[in-house]
Amino acid sequence: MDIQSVLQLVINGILGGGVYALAALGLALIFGVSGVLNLAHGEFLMLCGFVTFLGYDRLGINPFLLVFLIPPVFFALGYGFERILIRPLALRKEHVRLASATLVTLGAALIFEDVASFASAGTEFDKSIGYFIGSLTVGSVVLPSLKLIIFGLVLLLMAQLAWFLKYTYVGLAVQAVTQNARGAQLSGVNTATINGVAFGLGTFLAAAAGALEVIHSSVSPLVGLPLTLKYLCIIVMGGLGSFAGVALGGLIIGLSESIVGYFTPAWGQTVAYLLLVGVLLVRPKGLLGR
Amino acid sequence: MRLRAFLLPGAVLLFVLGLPLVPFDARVYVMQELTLLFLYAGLAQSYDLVGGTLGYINLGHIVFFGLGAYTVGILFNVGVPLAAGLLAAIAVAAAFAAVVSIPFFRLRGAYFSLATFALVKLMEQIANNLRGLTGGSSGLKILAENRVVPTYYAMFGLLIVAVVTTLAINRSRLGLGMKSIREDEAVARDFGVPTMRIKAQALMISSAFPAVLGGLFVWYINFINPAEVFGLKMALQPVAMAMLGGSGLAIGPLLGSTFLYGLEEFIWTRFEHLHGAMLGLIVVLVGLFMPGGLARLRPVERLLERLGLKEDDQ
Amino acid sequence: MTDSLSRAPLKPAAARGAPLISVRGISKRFAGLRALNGIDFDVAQGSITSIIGPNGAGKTTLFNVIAGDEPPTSGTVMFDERPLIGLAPNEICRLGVSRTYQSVRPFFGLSVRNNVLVALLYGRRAVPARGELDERMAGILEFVHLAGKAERRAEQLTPLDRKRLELARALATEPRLLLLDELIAGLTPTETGEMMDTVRAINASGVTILLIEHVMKAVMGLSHTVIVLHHGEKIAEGEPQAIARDQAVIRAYLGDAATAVIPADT
Repeated sequence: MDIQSVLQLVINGILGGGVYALAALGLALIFGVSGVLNLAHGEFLMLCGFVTFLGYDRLGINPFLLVFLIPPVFFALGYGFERILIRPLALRKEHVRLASATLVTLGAALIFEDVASFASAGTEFDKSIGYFIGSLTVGSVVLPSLKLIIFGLVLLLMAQLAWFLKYTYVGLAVQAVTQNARGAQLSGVNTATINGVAFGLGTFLAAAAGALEVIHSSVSPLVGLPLTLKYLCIIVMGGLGSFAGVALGGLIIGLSESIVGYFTPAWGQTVAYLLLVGVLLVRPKGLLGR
Repeated sequence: MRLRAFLLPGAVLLFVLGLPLVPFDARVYVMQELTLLFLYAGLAQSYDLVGGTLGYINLGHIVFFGLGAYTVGILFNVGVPLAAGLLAAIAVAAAFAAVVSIPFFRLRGAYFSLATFALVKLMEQIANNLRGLTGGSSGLKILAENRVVPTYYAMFGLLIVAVVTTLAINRSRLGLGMKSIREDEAVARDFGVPTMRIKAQALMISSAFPAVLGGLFVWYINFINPAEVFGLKMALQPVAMAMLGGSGLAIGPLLGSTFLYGLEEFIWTRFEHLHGAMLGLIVVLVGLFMPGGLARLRPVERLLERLGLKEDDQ
Repeated sequence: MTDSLSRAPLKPAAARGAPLISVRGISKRFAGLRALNGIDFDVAQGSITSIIGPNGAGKTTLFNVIAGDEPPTSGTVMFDERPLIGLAPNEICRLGVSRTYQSVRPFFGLSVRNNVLVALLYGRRAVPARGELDERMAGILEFVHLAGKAERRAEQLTPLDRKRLELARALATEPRLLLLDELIAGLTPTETGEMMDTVRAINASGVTILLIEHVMKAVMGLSHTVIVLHHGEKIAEGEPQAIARDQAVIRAYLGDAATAVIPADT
């Protein structure tokens, strides 16, 4: 096993993990602000990937253009989702609210998944924009250009998110609500609106991830729920209140799947869950959780 | 409980017990359907001990089901009879519950739910990978035999035990301790409740039922694989059923499982497409408009009261 | 009216015996913020001691430390010669310490009866016998004026009744030390008088009481001793009338300008 191959694995892992982290960040935002396990999160990823594919396949639009055009629409969708389905639950007792939100988002996920399956039946099952731009070779490590570009976009989006959270009023309000909803409310923050914004933003990120994913890989109608659950695991592992933790979690998962998957393919998938359980046993609040 | 309370259960009991004895065309089919219903209801009922009475939404309940199924399946293939296998399944599940409760019950709310769910996926992966023991993803087979009637009675019997257990716990000191944890765990501790111990006990009791159900399942279907016994549907269905019917009440999971099962049957036979979407819609509507579940709807409560089946919900 | 305002007769310090609870050097730090800094005091058996101070002075944190809900950064608490620090809250409860909460927290989804029952079944050293339970329950509910509401769910109670319920629950554990966190806050004058009588009756039955209070009528009317906290430090301790005149206390509550207006010997 030479250093080049290891490096290659690591690079692949990081590049793969990047898109994970983006969607996971979106979900972390939603979870951190509203405390809701949005089981429909992955469905938005899938739906946007689907729409992006259709845009490219049927209308011939450049997929990178679509990445900039379509996710913003999903911001509105996410906001609307929160308004219609989650806001009505706000006044319920804590564990009742958790249960109701779980049911509502689960039901929504089932609806999206089934409708997407139905709509895509007859055409290809896995949507993939096989976009080939060749690769860069640094030393003897091959860096697939497509993945690099996508990773670059991911980093760009993350940087924008970080900027938003630190330097805009709404962003600060989001952080405030994540840390202490009651306190933020008492300080004059309209938590209802912020919840909506968080959902919108989180969904936007998931949509972006979906669009990017379909460019270099593929998206199947059934991928929503398993992905959501995986992201939730990433968030829990990274720790609540720490977006860095989530990014770290996504990275670790991506890396370990890539590396372990290379040596023993069977255990590749297992790793994610093993890590999660392991981390929680040692640090119940997650790696970087507060 | 008043005498009136035994009317409906009594009637149901007679119906279920007598069914296999009445010769009619669709008899076996109905028995098979009911057997599955008893299975789901049993899972939902036992789940609700932790999810409803204790207030911890345990998405990992199905782990015990898979453990039980594989334990019985593996032992059966080396000649261990069913009864002994089921006892082993209970032991395995209880031990597993005791061990995982220590770290997992340090987590709260959504964290706990996610961690327990991850456990399911983990067990699925392990089952897939321990080829030698479990047959991997191709599954585990046992000697095929027609076991419809005994399974029918066994699952029904187990369901009854689950319901009775729930009722007994809800009236007991343990049950009160569990409810206090659900209401406000920190305050419960302040008033002497040994929270860690009670949570572990609740999980262990709750684990026995899916373990036996799993064992019966493999004995009945003759074949199991990780994707099925640790699958998403198997894991979330009992939870949805309990919540739909009314989490925290003994009759809740029963109502919820019957309702959802019946609904699924109805949708499958009447409509050609979009079954999942329709079910999803129902789930959304229940979540939005029936936070306490079916059992806590006014008209349903009144009906239950008239039947003598209303429970103390506090 | 004057009756509820008058204090219980003071016992001379020597006659009160060894302190039931001794707090020494309790400090609590939260990520850079010093909530408590070197708190020292004794509470005599059978006495009523009030802890007062401006908001944020660390009073509830102190209660949390004593009850075992939060570990202190340093310091010890001795209860009847026994160290409390390091014990779990449920163990501390069994030893005889009970409390109410500033943000009233009964078990909302449970009935009044079940609220008290939890404490009866778990909060005492030995689990009581079946027959004894009903008797104790009736007695406690009667005492706090909640008889007849036993089957009502806690969340349906009025704020006053919720406070009574918290008291009932706390009493059910047969405590030797009762920590009352702002019990009187938000009550009408009549309700205040009644609650004060109840507190006195509890104290008369032998229970030592630690009160966090803002309502001066209650502080003055109930306490044998008053301890004043400010910014996590103890700035005064003594009899109620002396505290009311203490310059440091006045400065803490009203600011420096006030001491210029209120002379030292009033």
